[in-house]
Amino acid sequence: MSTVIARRVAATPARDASQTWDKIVALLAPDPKSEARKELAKAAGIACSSIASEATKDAAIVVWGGGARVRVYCLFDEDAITGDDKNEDALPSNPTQGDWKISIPCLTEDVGWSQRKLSATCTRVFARSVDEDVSDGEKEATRTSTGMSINMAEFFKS
Amino acid sequence: MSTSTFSISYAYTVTYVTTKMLLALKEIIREIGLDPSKFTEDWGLYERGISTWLTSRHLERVSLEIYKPRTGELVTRWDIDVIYGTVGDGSLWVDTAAIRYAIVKAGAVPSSCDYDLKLKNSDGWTAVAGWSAASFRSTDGFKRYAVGATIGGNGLAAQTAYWSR
Repeated sequence: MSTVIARRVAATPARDASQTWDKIVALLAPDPKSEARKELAKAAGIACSSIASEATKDAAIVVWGGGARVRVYCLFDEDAITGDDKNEDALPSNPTQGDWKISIPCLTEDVGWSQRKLSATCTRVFARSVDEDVSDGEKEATRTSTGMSINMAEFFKS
Repeated sequence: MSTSTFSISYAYTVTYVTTKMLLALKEIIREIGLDPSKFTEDWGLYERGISTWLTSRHLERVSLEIYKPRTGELVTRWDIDVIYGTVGDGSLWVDTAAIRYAIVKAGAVPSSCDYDLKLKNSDGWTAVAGWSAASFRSTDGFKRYAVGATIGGNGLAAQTAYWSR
């Protein structure tokens, strides 16, 4: 059973795209001197493009492979200002350790050039369409940030 | 057109307009047949310059020059002109449909073209790291086509136009 943790980060107009990405990076790679920070810094431009297009509103930035699967969404407009649904709490463990990877959602028309750019500079960062999800590990179980775990298969049997 | 209706500060408007300007320019680059990769490399630098000079009200225009790399000759230019002191309904808005329609009308450019982003400020602007003085390529022989207001917020709006022969 995989564990999924969700975070919702305030974006435009509370933060610009770069500030939003910096906040997400601080959550995902808390050690400023880590290799993960350097890898994520190389993806900043593509991430900013994704955030500015609001692709991250309904499609998550997904991190997996280094522990708990993490899904980061962004809040925009009034939601970003009021922060009612914001959850920027530190993660219980570092998801960018070991063999981690990260998928950034992009508008369909941005996927091609974004992936080419990432392939040239990054080894752990990938672009995908907002219409795609990342594997199906999170279908097995969902763990909320409060620690409550739901086995979805058993839930739907009941 | 997407619209959000809530009361909003000038600082929020600056962040919103900056983001939408860059988003519009990225879409223009992509839709006229060029690769936006180079543009995204300097996304943070562009944000710092545009937001700083929108906040100080020195920014007059954001221009995307598309040119022939071999000669430096201008092929087309897209302008986003800033209008301060606009009176709106307190909402933030962007008219992406108008921008996309204008892109279709303007047409594609040869894929061998390159591009530069340049800002025009009024006198008295303060320096922002990473930005330096530059001159605009000549628009002699070009005609300017207005698209109209495409981005707006509290006390700030942006009008788009493009140049073509």
